[in-house]
Amino acid sequence: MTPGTALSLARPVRDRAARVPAFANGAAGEAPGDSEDEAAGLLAALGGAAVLLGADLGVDLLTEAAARLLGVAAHPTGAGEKLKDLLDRSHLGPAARQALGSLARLDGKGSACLRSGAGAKILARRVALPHRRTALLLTPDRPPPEAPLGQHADPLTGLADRAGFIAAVTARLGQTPAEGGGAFGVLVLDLDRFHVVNDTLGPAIGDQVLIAVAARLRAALRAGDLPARLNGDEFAVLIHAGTGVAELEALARRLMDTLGRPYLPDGQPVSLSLSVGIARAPEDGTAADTLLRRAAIALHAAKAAGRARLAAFTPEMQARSETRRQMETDLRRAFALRQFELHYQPQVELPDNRLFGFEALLRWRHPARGFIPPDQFVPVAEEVGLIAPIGAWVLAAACAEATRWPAPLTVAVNVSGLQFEQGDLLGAVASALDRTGLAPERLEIEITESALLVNPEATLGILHQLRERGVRIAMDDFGTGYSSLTRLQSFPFDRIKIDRSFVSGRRGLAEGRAIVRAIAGLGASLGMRTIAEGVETEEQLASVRAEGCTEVQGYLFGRPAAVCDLPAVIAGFGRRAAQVTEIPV
Amino acid sequence: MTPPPLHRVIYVSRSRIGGTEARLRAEIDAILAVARPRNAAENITGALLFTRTGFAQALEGPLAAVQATFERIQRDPRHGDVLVLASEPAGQRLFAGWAMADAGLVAGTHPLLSAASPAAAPVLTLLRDLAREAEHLPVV
Repeated sequence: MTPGTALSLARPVRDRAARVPAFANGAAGEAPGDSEDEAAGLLAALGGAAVLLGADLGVDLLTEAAARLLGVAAHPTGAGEKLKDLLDRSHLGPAARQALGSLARLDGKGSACLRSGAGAKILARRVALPHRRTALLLTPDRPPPEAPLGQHADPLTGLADRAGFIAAVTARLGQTPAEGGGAFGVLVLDLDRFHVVNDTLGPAIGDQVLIAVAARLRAALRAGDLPARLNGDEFAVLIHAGTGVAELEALARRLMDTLGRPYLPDGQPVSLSLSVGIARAPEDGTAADTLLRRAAIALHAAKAAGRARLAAFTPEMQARSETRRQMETDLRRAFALRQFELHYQPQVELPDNRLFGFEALLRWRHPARGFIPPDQFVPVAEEVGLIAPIGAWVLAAACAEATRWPAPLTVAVNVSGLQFEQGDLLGAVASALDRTGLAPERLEIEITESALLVNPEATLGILHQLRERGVRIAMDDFGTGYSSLTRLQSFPFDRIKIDRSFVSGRRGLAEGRAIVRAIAGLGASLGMRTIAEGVETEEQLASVRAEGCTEVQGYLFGRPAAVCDLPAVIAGFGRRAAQVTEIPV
Repeated sequence: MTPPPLHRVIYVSRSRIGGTEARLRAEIDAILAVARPRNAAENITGALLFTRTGFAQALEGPLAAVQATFERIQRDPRHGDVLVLASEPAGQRLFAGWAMADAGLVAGTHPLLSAASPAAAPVLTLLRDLAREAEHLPVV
């Protein structure tokens, strides 16, 4: 074997022939050099940091890990280097060099704690070997401090930025246990609804809060943990030690407590909560981007379960996330390829069963999976920010279709609560009406009660502006959620839609009837029309009519129909009405 | 030169100091021993009231100093569930001369402080009255 060729060894320093006599009195049969090579190979394989010294304190072997710890080149530096010379070219300070030199000269076992030039502590242990040889085993007491961030610093907070964090995680993944590597944790932290701070108090205050969050984060961590700002209000931490799930969760809870306390930017109190996702190396990944992505998946799960929570990554989360991502890809494609269609279900006025309009219902015709119901894809569309463009398309298409119907037939369009927050709902309605020329009073916007929960003032403001334009507003699915009388009173709705579950008797016939009666009574006293959904049988029709509903919708009067079938549906209602008027009373 | 405008913060929080009343008293003494010289140096005045379950504190001084002090207090693990009752410009100091008045231990839980969201004004009045009662001489 040629010196210097052994894999990952900074190999010897002295010439084998010169060394042999020192070992020649060893056991017969086996060249001591071979067993030394084996020992060296073993050390290297274990990734250990060790310096093997001969009787004269010449360096026989320097493992790559030891070279890194001492800050010396890992390549051979010439034959016969003395320990003293090795230490002189290391980055150890004079005191540490002296301590290590004394340790090497000791008889028997001993240890010393050294401080390297980079500020990291190194624990050195002396092990006496046969033939007056010595091994110095080095372990980092802590990982060396992170290299100065330089261009990887986030300019606002001074924390590491995303690239710096990924570099640090990657470096950490490359470290062996002996170098302070091994298991570690990655936390991703997200400030809940931080955009509200920016929107209401302005970005300058938002920045002050981010700076304060970063300072608290830094102060809450132990030396060796690396905090970073990934982007916007998303932070991450590399957790060096204490990496069991329970320990990481306890740390996450501590951070949620500290960082979730009030801030005083510019003297104004700001309250925040945060959500945390946890991933662990190596269990959850052995590449930086995998770990970060999985921590983000866990974060997402924590947020989905309600904010101000934490979650540790599990493989089930990965599966759910993949399904969702596939759905997202399909949705974006569907939008581009116009795979969405609107179907229209007749809405009928009592007591004479007169058609007064249609509810537009979104359908997605997936090329492989057929029709996908909205409850399966709308939540994903909301999550990925597609709901505003899809919602705008629905408004435009529904208004365009309604212009082809005889006036005054109306079209009802469902609007997601998120369209009030994310999209320009007023603009979308205005453009749909202007472009199609549909009379505003022929358009009805259906909102659910939950849309009024998030930001009631802003939402009510938009509803009033829609109303000023002449558009009608209906409260959808009433009875299923909070069913707050206060919310019903907060806006003069034109119509209350009674959820189908009360009509179908699924919640108990008597109970369903009682609720239908109560809502119909409420509507009557508030001057709002009430429409019962899901009416499928004559008995149900008789029941909701008896309880006072003014309108119905359901399979009894027609399923949602494609655009091409609508003329026939409308004509059918015309004939029925004609029959009714022709029958002598 | 006109002095910087005054700012006042009033908050309540839940105590995480367990154990006996003596232990609580000892912790409070430790808090005050650290806070007073620092507050005096930073031109902060105020009062601290504590019960078995929580704290109420008023801090007043130049905005930057109030912010820094408040931030330091937020990092203290001896309390949590911090609720800011008021944070506003102050015309004058209400605790002038008190680097941190010890408004003392109120037995049990004070109804003002155990409310879900106490009003700022009565808490401030309470702090002021208790501070005057408990400390006959201003602490410098």
